[in-house]
Amino acid sequence: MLNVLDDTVNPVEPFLRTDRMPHIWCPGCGIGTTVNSFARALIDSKVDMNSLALVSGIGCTGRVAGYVKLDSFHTTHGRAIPFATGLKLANPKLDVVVYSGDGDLSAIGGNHLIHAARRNIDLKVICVNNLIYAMTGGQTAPTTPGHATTSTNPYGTFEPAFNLPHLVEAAGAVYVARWTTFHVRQLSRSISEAFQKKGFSFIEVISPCPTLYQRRNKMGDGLDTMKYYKEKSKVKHGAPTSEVGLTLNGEIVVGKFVDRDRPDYQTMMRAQYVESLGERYIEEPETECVCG
Amino acid sequence: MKADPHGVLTGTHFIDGDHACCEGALAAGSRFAAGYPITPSTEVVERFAARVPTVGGSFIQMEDELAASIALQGAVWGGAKAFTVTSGPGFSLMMEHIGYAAMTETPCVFVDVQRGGPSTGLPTLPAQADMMQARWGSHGDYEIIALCPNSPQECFDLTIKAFNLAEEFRVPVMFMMDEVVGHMTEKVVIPAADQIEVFPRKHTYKCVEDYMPYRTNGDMVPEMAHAGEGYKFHVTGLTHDERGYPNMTPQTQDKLVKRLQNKIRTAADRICMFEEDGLENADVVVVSYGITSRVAQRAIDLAKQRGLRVGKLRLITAWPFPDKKIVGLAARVKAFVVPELNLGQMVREVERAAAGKAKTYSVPHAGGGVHNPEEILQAIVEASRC
Amino acid sequence: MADKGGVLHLTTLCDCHHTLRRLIPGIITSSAVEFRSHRCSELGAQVAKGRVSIVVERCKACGFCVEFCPTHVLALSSAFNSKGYHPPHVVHPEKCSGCDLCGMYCPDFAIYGTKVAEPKRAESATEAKTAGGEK
Repeated sequence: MLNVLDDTVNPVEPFLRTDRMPHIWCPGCGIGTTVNSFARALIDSKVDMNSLALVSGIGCTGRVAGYVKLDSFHTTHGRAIPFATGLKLANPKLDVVVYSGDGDLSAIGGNHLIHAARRNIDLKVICVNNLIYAMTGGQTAPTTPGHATTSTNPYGTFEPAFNLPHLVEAAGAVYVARWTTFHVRQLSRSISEAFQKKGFSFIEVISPCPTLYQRRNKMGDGLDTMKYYKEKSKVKHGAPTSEVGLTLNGEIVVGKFVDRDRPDYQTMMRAQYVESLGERYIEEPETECVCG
Repeated sequence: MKADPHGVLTGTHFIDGDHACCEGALAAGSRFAAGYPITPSTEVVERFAARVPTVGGSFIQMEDELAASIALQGAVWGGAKAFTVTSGPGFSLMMEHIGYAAMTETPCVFVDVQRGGPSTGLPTLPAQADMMQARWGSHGDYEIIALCPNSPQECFDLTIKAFNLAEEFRVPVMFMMDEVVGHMTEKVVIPAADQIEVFPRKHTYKCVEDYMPYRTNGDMVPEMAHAGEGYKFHVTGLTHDERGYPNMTPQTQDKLVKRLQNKIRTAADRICMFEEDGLENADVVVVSYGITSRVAQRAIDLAKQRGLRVGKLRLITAWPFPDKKIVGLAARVKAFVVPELNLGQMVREVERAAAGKAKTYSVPHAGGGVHNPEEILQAIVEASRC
Repeated sequence: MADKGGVLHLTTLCDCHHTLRRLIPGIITSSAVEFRSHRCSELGAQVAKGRVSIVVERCKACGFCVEFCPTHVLALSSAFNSKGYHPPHVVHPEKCSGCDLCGMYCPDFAIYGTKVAEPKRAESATEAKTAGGEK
């Protein structure tokens, strides 16, 4: 929406499909907040919007793809990362962002998460972690802390939760950070840093789900949760990821945990082929063989 | 347009069906494959992995079939022609993404080199028991095209046809090979590139402001754009409108799903290919496909030697099913004999289309080998007596 | 309701802009008022360095903007938008620095802050003193 009086525009507006606003996310849900940080990061990093593709899976966070004005793909549950892999390999010039939720990326998508990290595919993965399967009504996710109440654990969860930064670091990610939706500027900065890096970047954002997770666990609404993030977050850059697990109502360690360099998948592929094939190696089709 | 010569291995070769299929894909312009190893299909992508780095493009072995079947679609939206190969168990895993390809109208090819099933079944032995699955395996109402080669030469020729149909109709095409055709070695002639017709991607020429990803102009197939061209379009598996935006109402559903169905069904005449012989005077028509058609040919020859009036209808296109052809034949022949390496799948379609006007005799086989021609001959003889 | 382009911006000094907003769809309203610098220095009040714009129909009254505005410019109003939420309104416009933290926090893209250009203060008494006759 353009403010006709003084031509000011919300900085996030050019990135939105305004014809689809208002969006479906609940009052106090943090997903929209992460989109603001994402938009700011795109502006600050001067990413070419025409060379950017966003891939999401299924879930509340998966709906981000439908609200951003980019080449965007709302794919199947858990499979945003392999779709993004194919997209990136077919057009290496693209910046490919995967924007999806904790259930989508670490449960059904867990296998693809670890393999893409292992391969160091050049993807920027933003994982909005609301500790629950929100879209389907509040079921236990691999990230739900122990002793929380969910619709499939009505008497309280008893499974250990995934420590996502630890998982992706072990799998090989070159950039791992965690923030909450309270840390809007730091999140934006992390996303910008991920855009400067080649390889598998993973940014976890802890976010409220006031309708399901917070409500069922009597943790108040979105604002109460944001205050909890503000109060209980501890910034510990470089903290060992084994120590950043989350507990119910416990401390949230945030920060940039991993920032290392190793060649990304396409660099390694190229190097291997050049070594094996020398001049016979042809990286990209020389002739137009698709569109004619 | 003509094939890109870089991908065409012109010459006379002595290769098996799997290898020929790979060459067909390259000749068709495919420069991306994602796969997962499964007998008896693996050789297709093994060959692609060896060939594509010298042609241009890439191959990636994904961590499972779920990943392979969607990675290829990401590559399509990134601008490539892409495919994957699998067999029964992997085909089952790919079903969700075949539905996604149908719903998002992603042109691509899924090769199923059928083997004995169900479940792990007979990894190294043939069957043709995925035929119904090819048509109905994913949830919801959608259409696919399925082709059945019966020789390594056809594995080359029809793979090109599969890609062409995929691009023309923006639909996933099932390439239904079987273990025998895939692993039999025969002469395969690959012509010069300028003799191979390749259907180009239906890419839009509209400018960014005018383009709508799912708007059609009467031919029911919308124009495509690729990521990174500035169109900033949205693709979703949710029921969507012309803008590609989720629009989950009964009206949008009706319009979309019927168009997905009609774009194939109304073109069935163009899509359906078969090989026929001796149908004019036939009392009995043997309907077969894939490797079984070669065994059936022996049975037909033997039957003719006995003076029986037998015609041959070989399905090259299994889906959409050639209803019209069967309806036409049912009006004047006594019976259909349908041998297949399964316990009766395509025979149901023949029976349905015949609508009782002609009898239908199934010649089933549980899989693991091919029919003995005598079995099919027996059925032809019985059918002739009815 | 989907946004439409080309909007009218209405600025008032009170809550009634919410009522107007409900009656006339497609407008942005706010109660941020631009102070003129000379009036500011007369009053001895803070010069507003920023202004807030609120897209009332998108708001779901989560309260993030109110809570996290560093200078407490906002409060939830008693008015309603058409979905029944209480959108925020500006209660201390002079304190707005245009930092846009409200915009960064808002999950509904319903509010944003912008910096306003420093108005010319040639007429102000202070400037006249220091300028010393230079024009």
